Order: sequence, then structure tokens, then C-alpha cells
Amino acid sequence: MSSLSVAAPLPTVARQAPKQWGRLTLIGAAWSVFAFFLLLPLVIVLTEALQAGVGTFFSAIFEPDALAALRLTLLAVAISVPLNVLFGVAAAWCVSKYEFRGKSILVTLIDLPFSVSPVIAGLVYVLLFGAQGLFGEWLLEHDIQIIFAVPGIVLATLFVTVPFVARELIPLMQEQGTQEEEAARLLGASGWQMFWHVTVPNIRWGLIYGVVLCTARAMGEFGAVSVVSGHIRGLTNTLPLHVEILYNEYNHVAAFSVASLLLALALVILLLKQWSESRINRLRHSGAEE
Amino acid sequence: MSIEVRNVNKQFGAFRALNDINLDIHSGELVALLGPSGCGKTTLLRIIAGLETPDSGSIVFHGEDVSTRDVRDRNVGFVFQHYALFRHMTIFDNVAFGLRMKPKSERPDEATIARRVKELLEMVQLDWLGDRYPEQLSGGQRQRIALARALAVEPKILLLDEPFGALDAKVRKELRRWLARLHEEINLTSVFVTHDQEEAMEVADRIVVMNKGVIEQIGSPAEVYEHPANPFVYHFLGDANRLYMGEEHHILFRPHEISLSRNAADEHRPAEVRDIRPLGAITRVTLKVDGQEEPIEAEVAKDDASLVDLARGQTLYFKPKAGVPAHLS
Amino acid sequence: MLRRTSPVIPGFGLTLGYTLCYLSFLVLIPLAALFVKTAELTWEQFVAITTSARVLAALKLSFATAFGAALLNGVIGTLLAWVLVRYRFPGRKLIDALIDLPFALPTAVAGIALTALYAPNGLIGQFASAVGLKIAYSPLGITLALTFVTLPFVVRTLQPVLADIPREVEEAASCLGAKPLQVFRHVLVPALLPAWLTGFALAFARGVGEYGSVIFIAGNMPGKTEILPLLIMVKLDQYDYAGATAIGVLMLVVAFILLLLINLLQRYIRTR
Repeated sequence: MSSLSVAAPLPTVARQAPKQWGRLTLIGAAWSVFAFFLLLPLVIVLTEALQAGVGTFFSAIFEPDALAALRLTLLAVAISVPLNVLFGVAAAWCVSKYEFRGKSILVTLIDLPFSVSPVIAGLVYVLLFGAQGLFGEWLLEHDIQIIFAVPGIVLATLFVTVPFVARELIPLMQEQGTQEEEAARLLGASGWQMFWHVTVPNIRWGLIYGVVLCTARAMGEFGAVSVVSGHIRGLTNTLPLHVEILYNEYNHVAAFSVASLLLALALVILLLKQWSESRINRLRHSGAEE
Repeated sequence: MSIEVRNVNKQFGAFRALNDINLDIHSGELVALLGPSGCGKTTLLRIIAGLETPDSGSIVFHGEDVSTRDVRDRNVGFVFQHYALFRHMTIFDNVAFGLRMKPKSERPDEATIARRVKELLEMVQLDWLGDRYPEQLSGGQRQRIALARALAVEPKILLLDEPFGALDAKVRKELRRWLARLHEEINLTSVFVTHDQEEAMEVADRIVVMNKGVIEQIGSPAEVYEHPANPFVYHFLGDANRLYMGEEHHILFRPHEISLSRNAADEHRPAEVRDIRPLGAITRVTLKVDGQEEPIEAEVAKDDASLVDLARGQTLYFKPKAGVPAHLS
Repeated sequence: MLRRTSPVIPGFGLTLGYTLCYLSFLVLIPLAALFVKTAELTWEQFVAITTSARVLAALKLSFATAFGAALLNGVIGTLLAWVLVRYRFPGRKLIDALIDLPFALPTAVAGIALTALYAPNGLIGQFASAVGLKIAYSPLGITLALTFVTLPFVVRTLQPVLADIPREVEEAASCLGAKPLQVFRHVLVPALLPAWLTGFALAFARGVGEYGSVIFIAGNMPGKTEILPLLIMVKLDQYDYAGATAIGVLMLVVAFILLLLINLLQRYIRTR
């Protein structure tokens, strides 16, 4: 029985050794899994991109079609991120500051795009605005093109990025409660003054975190955009789609060069994410003390 | 400025938080809303402040119905239980907030604001903390800053929600006395919510005892203590002994309202000594009486004659000096 | 305490209205269009499309590989979460930061990188093919790609829960004479199971719908390595809108049923 281990110091020392081994084994296993699943893909992108030299690498990135794709990707990001920030703040505000019937259904609906395949996200817009879609004829008559054009790409990107900001803000704002806002109102602040002077500073790191995640997804979305894009080089190609085209043309070096540009952006996003996350944690700790 | 609460009702779903509340608070008075948690006292305070809308009834400030007036126009200072200091602002900015939110025409210039804030911080004796953040302050300090922030806009009424609830015992006692003194100085109509009867007795001019959404009694600390309107008030305002007089009824009396004797005496009942606790100026004796499970607690001066050489297990004779009859409920 | 909506916080109508409009126009109405379009099919046509051999094979493949990837993540995700929360070691911060790489990296990049690794002439693929194992262009490759893109789910849902279980609980259990495995079974598993299932469900749902990372490594042989989302693309390319719509509805419905089941399971575990 265990009565021995309570009394004598010797067994505890003896027990330490196998525990240490277990620890080292687990850490080793985690490192291997990490190297195999995460580090290796990362390294291969860079080695494949640079195998034909730095010159080829840069010419693939600065080629006109690649630059056009970069511009379109940035445009999709520049439209979807601000719209989703506005939506995220509004959604988080009504969910976290008020009680109303059907609130949990609303929260589920906000998350809905996460459980829908990106291909379906693209498909629904084709069904609405495509040539055979519900509004297809009307759009044709008025000479408006959405599918196989930039508006479709923006719409598809918006669909898949809807939840990102709201999801970060809802728990944060629920945790912070409404007392600081009430205090501001009692001290004579108007609704907008309360919002800008009290709410926004309190949620700013969560907001940045949401923006970072939203940017990552908007920049890298593939499936949804692929359905509505039409793959017209220089016109309706985003960077990920450009990577696909190059790859399918067996132009591997160029494909990996553009891919490494996206990888670099991803790493920047991870850095920003880490940074905003640490600020949120600091905020949480100071909040918990009160 | 006086406050009148007229026929106020408030319901949260099926829960009746306030049931036809009527209350008059005179100008310059310091009133405590006292009651157990869930009795509706915080809801009433929030309704007075305008943070909550009553289902029916009205709030009148100095003869003027303010029920429909927006919070920011009620000119009420409010101190939250957990202070609700703006965590991303310095202490200075926290206190200055109300002044800076004023419409442009009424807003003082920054130099005036700085002077006002300095005065307020001096008043709460924390003028050296201006550039710190709330998280760097102790609970007692935050409490005083919350008060300074509320007073910055020169409110006509000060409302405090459990102002000492989150503090440890020693700080609480100090702050309590400080608040009572401060009230004397600035003489602002003040209402505070508490569940601690000692706090209410020590600080308030008048106490409003609440339970389950209704007011049980209103009176000065002495009145509610000496002449409780009903058993609830009696129990809530201090320790009470229950002594059964036969099957049907019992009387209530406070531990200090007792006379003890070593010998059988007039109307004194015998009891067995279970415990003796010297507590400084007084000594508490726990007694077991035949015919009831509940022990009787007696608190007598430490030099009471009956205590000399008293030991557990001995028999002592006791008689309640006062007491209110109460029916078994 | 009952604390309801405070009347002094403005903007309820505005924010709720905006939220509902935005969601409706961007998500709900378009999704409804999917069902409207399906209604143009008769029930027999719908059944015929969704039970054709090619669709069934894709359905089986998508769900099997997503399930396999979620399961694999359940194991390595638990390992990573455990090590990251419990131990301090060189490189911990790096691993912790890069766990989210699959979320930040465009899926197409992941797809071509993994294909380069696992193709028969690739860095790992060459060793595998030497022993007769085909990774890329097989269900195994699809599973590995899905494992990569869904890797953060289990780790990130387990980490906070694991950090919240105080060490004292385990120590108390071992003081009471429990062996490490008993501690794991009786103390840790019950505490971690709801979070683990959540992570598993998220990974699974994402895996079923994933497209970008899979199409490069899959080989896309009809009936063999063709996933459901790809089949939708194929139908669209053939202007077979009815077919694409029917498969889309099928995917949505099955995914919702699965998520509902897992939600119910979680609720059952929590209230047990």
C-alpha cells in the first residue's frame, strides 16, 4: 500500500526518475509531431521556391499577373475587413449588452459560415447571381456582372469571414460587463462618447485580434473564391488562385515563389496575433483583480 | 435635494423585485437600504439613479418628477460595488471624465479641470496617485477614487451600491467612518445599499430595512434596533435568542438583554453552561435550556459576578431583561 | 442576482437591426437560395443525384478522411496541448505560436506544400513509395492534408481547459494512491472530454468541407479520390447546377445533423 511512500523520503526520489523520463518522452514526441506536421511543410515551401535561385524567385513574384492577383487579394481584404469589423462590433454589442429572446439562435447564426463548406459559400452566390441564377436574367439585362467578376470574389470572401471579429468580441465584452458604460452615462457621457471613450479602448485588443484572423482568412480563401472567380488571369485571380494556376501548369518554382509570399504574410499575421493575444491576456488579468 | 419614491414596482420575468415601494428621503440625509441579498435594495438604488426603469411608479427629486429624465441629466453621483473605474484610463483621467464629457458650452478648460481633479484627489487623500492606473491601486484606494469621480460633476445626490462590500474588515471600518465624516462635511443627500446591519447602524441617519421586495421598517438606527416592527427586522438587526415559553410561542431577546445568577432567583430559569468565551470587554456564555434544542447565548460584562470561577457543566440561572414575543411561524 | 438590460446603454435597435440585415443579406438569404433551387428538383431526381455511385463514393471518402483526420488530431492535439501547458522546455514558445500556422496559411499553399512532401518523388513520399506505400493521390494523403489544416482545433480548445485544472487535483489523486494512468482515466479524461469533443467536432466539420488543401494532394480520381466539395466544382464546371445544388444541400444537412449530435452529446456529458 501507499503507507510507505508517505513516511520514507527514499521512494519519492526513486519515483522522480521515471517521471522525468515520461516528461522527456512527451516533450520529444511533441517536438517530432511539430517538426513533421508544421515545420516540414513550412520549410518545403521555401526550398522549392528558391531551388532555381533568387532571380527566378523574384521574377515570379513581380510578374504582372502575380501583381494583379496581389492587388485583387488586397482589395478583397480591404473591403471585407472593415465591413466585418462594423458587423462584429454591432453583433457583439447587441449580444453582450442586452438580454433578448432568440439570442442563442443569433449567436449560432453568426457562427454559421464556419460550418458551411467554402465551396457551398461560392455555390450559393452562383445560384443567386450566376447566368442561370435567381437574379441572373435581371443582372444580364442591366449589364451587371457579379459572378466571374470582382464583386463575386468580394461577396464570397465576405461570406467566409463573417464570424471572425464577432467571435472574438462577444466573449470579451460579455466578460467586461456593462458597469463601466453605465458609469460613463451617469457621469454625463452621451451614447457615442461612452462608446468611443470607454467601450472601444476596452475592446481594442480583441478587435485587433479579430481583424488579424479575418485578414488571414480573407487573404487565403480559396474554395469559395475559386467557385465564383472564373480564373481570368490578371482580372479575377487572387493570389491563392494564382498559385493554383501556376502549379497546374507545372510551373512549380513560380507557384512556390508566390506561395512563399503568402507564407511570409501568414507568419506576419501569426506575429500580430501573438502580440494582440498577449495584450488581451494582460487586460484579462488586470480585470480579474478587481 | 430630497428624494421621493412613489409606488414603485419592478418585475424581472416572474420575479417580483420591488412591490409598491414608497419612501421619502430628506435633503442632506444619509440613508441606508438594508436587507439580505435579493431583497430589491440594489434595484431600488438603480431605479433612483435612472439605471433601471420601474414598471410603474415615479421618482421625484425635490418636487420634480425625474422618472422620464435620462441618467445623464439626473445629476446623480453613483459609486458601483466593484467601482467600475475605467481600466484603460489613469486615475486623473478617471476623475476628470465627467468634467470632460460636459457639452462644450459648460465644459471647463483643462487648467480648471486639472485644479478640480487635484482638489478631489486631495479630498480623498490620494493626490499622489494621479498618474497610476486602477489596476495598480488597492481596493480601498479604488473605492475612494470611485467616490472622487462621482463627486467631480458636483451631483445633488450620491448613491452608493455596497460601498464597502469588496473590502477587508479593517479597511472597511476605516472607510465607513471616513464616509460618515465626509457626509457631514459636504452634506449631500446620500443613499447607500448594504447587507451589513453594523455598517448601516454606524453610518446612516436612517435605515430602510427591506425584504423580498417590500420595506419592512423605516427609522433611525436606535428606532429599528429598539423597536423592531416585526420578527424579520428583529433578526436582521442583530443576534437573537429564541426562548420557548411552552409549546405554542416563544420570545426573542438579544444576547446582552439577560441577567445571570449563580443561585436560583426570581423568575430565573436554570440552564447548563456549555461554553465560556471571553471576548474582550464582554464574555459570551452559551447555555443549554431543558426542553429546547437551540442554545441561549448570553453576553455579559467580563466582570459580571456570575462569571467568577464559572466552569463548563455548571448550572446557571438566567432571565431575559427585555424581549419581544413572537409567534411560531 | 437578476440583472437585465439596462435602459441607459443605447443602441439595441440599431445594432440588432444591423446584425440581422447583414447576416440575412450575406448568409441567410444566399443559403436559402440553395434550398429554393433544390425545390426545382423532384424528390426522385434529388434522390437519384445524391445516391449515384460517384456521389456516394465521394461522400464516403469525405466523411472517412475527415473523421480519420479529426481522430489523428485528437491524439496529437492532446499531446501538444498537454506538453505546451504542463512543461517548460526549449522551443515551447515557438511551437505555441506556430500551432496556428494552418489557420493563417492559405489552404492552397498548404496543399501544394504537402503534395511536394508526399508525392512519390517528394521528400517523404520517396521513402514511403520505397516500401510500397502511396501517400499523395490516395485517401491517406487527403487525411494528412486535413490533419494539417485542422491541427489547431483540438490543441486550442484543450489548452485553456487543461490550464484551468489545478495541478493539486492530480496531486491529490496520487496522494490518495492513484497510479498515473488511473489519474488520467478518472481525473483528467472526464474534465477534458467536453473540450476534446468540441475540438474534434470542429476539426471534423471543417475537414468535411475543406477544399483548397485537398485538391492538390488528392489526385481527384472519380470514385476513388474525389471529395464531395470537388464534386460540386465538377458539376458546376459542367453547368449541372441542379446536381451541384443537390450535393450542396446534402452536405449541409449531413454536417448539421452531425454537429447537432455532437452538441447533444456534449450537453449530455456536461449534465451527467
